[in-house]
Amino acid sequence: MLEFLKNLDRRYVFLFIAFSVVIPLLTPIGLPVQHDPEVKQLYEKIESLEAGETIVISFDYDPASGPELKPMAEALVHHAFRKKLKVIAIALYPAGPSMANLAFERVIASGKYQVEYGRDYVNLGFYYGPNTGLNQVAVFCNDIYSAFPKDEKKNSTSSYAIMKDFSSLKDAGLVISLSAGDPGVPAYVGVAYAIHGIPVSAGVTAVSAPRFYSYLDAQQLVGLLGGLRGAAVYESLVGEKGKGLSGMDAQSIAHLVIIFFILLSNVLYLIEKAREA
Amino acid sequence: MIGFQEFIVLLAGFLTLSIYSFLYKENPLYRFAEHLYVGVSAGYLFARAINDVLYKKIWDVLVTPDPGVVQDWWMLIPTILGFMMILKLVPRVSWVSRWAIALVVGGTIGLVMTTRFKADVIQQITGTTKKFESARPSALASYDRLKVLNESRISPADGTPFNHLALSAKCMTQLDIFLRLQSKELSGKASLDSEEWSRIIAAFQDYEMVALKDHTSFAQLAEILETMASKHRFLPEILKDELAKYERTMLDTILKADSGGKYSKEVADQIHAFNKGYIERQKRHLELTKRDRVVQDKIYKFIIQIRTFARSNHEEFSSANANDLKSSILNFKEYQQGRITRWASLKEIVSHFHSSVDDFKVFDVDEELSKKLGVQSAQKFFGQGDDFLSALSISQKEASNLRNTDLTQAYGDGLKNIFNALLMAFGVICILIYFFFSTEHKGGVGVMAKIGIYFLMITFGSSFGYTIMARVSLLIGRMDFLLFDFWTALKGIIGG
Repeated sequence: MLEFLKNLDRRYVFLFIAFSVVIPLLTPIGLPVQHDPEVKQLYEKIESLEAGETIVISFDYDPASGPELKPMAEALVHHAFRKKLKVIAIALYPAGPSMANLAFERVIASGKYQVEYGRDYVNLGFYYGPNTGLNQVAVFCNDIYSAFPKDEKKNSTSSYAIMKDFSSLKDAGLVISLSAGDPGVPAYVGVAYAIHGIPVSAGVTAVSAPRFYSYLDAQQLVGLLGGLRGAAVYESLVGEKGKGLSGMDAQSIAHLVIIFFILLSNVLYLIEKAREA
Repeated sequence: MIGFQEFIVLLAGFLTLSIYSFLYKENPLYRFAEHLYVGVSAGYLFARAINDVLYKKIWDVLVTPDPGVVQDWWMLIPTILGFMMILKLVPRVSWVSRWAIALVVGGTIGLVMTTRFKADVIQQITGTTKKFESARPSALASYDRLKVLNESRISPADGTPFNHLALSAKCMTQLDIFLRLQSKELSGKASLDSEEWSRIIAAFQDYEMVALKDHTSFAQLAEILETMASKHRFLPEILKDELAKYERTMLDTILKADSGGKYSKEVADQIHAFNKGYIERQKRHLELTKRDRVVQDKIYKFIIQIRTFARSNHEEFSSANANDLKSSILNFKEYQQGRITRWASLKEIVSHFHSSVDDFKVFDVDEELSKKLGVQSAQKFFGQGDDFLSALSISQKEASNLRNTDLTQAYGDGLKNIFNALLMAFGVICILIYFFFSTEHKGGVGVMAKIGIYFLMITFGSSFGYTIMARVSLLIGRMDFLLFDFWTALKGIIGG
């Protein structure tokens, strides 16, 4: 038995992980979700904004990070539309504008909001630049029109009502970077917050979340959504059940399976060591 | 016939499965999908560069500007610089590209130096040292917490009256903490125009808003209870109707079954069963009528209590009293005494609430009747109340502890925060020592460097945990797609 377990084909582990994800997706358990303070902080910041204020969401990710960041984007757009905030979408990733369009389309398809493109939200598109993102954000903070003379629909940016009193990120009530890595959050914290004092918040993939907790601790970020869990908590706060919440059961069960295998391999190692002794 | 959307979903599903086939072993399908992914990504990037840079920024601005817009000839400079960069591909003149690259690199380094130094060094050091400041129970930190609480209270996610009141209880406790800390820090030295006094006044004014909302919440609560009580009044009437119906049905049965004064055994059993049911219903009617009166009394007493409390709560902090605000703050001890009395009166109401909960559950006596009465489920209603009660009892406990604690020594999480701040600073120093190679790592320095490694390992461990979480999330995303979108599209093809 010990030998069998020691030489267990790794593909069995893959199979176990696959089942641990598939079964809860098909038969949800509804495990409770605790509200993390960093997620609540972002929620409360948006709650504190007045109707008519503008928030900027930077879609700094591509489909590869979509499963984690898409639910965040949708929950944030839901919240903004419910609060009657104006939303300007920009992107530091080439696929960002498509991600923004998807989020807007899905939220509008819910039929809960009477919003109009150009008046309540706009997708300005992607801005090319070096990988650090600092140059791009520096431009956004000074003159957004020079960065985006035309929006994603190739219309003049200045022709939209939403852009009437908006000339740079300094006019935003909050800037949120939904980031899969660089360019993204460090650029917004480095330029928008550190130089111009613009409040910045972030939604990031779980891989990069530990890196940004130091920004949160130093109060350089107003709230932080980390990975699918962050998305799930935000969905629960906003009251919009999406892919975040529905994926939490699978996430928890998969983690339990991984922990089980870690413990099992350690126990096997200890048994083997004891036998050798 | 497959639609375009279905085709895309099927293709995406096929490619996902091809990529996952690598988990079994390397195979041509995996390689095809991998190469396709890389190729499509590069193509997409190229198309975006053409669209976002060449078309939107250069062609549109210089060649086909919008009507009434003058050509921006300044854009020629970056265009030329971009062209110079491409010359790197021509060996004979590749040196020209260095000028453009130097400009970009120089500009970026300048920006990186200033921004990263500020964001990643200065603000991070400030953040680490700030932890010590926030660990000390200061009036300012407590005021900030109070402000956050008040703000979250102004527009809570769930707008039930119980929800408002639970938050309000927290605000009351936090206001106590703030006022005690601030009064200690003042020690009668600061003038009425000082920053400290304006903070106290602002806190009181914020609390006035809270008290106003409390009034509304209590009124809402009273209204819900009143509706329940008034509807409940019809309960005996409904039961009476039911009894009348019973009597009629029984009479009909007897008349139908009457065959010359002789009843069959079956009919006799039926009548017996009817009699039994009738007696039971009648008993219940009497019991409910009696109990109804008791419950009605209790509910109305409760309503009066909360309305009185809400009114006094509101009046105490109403605008009419705003002129006396400064004097009430100055007589801080009196104010505190008033607060203690108010806590006691609230506690009394809450204990009354507790004792009445079981009686109020009479609304759930019969699901069918509850529906007929058209009132919300009492169980659900009082379930919400349980959250409020637990929040209130925690706040009451905190408030009672506060009265016996010297806040300037240490309050609540103070010790924990100080420990965390020290641990964090110690960890930072140890890690820095580990990376300092100008001194040999032995003796005290060696021990510190070793501890630094442990801190690094904990950091890497937590990052690794997050990495696993991220990978599982991606797997969930793909499985969700395969199980629902892909499977639906596939079923559509197979089925039709």
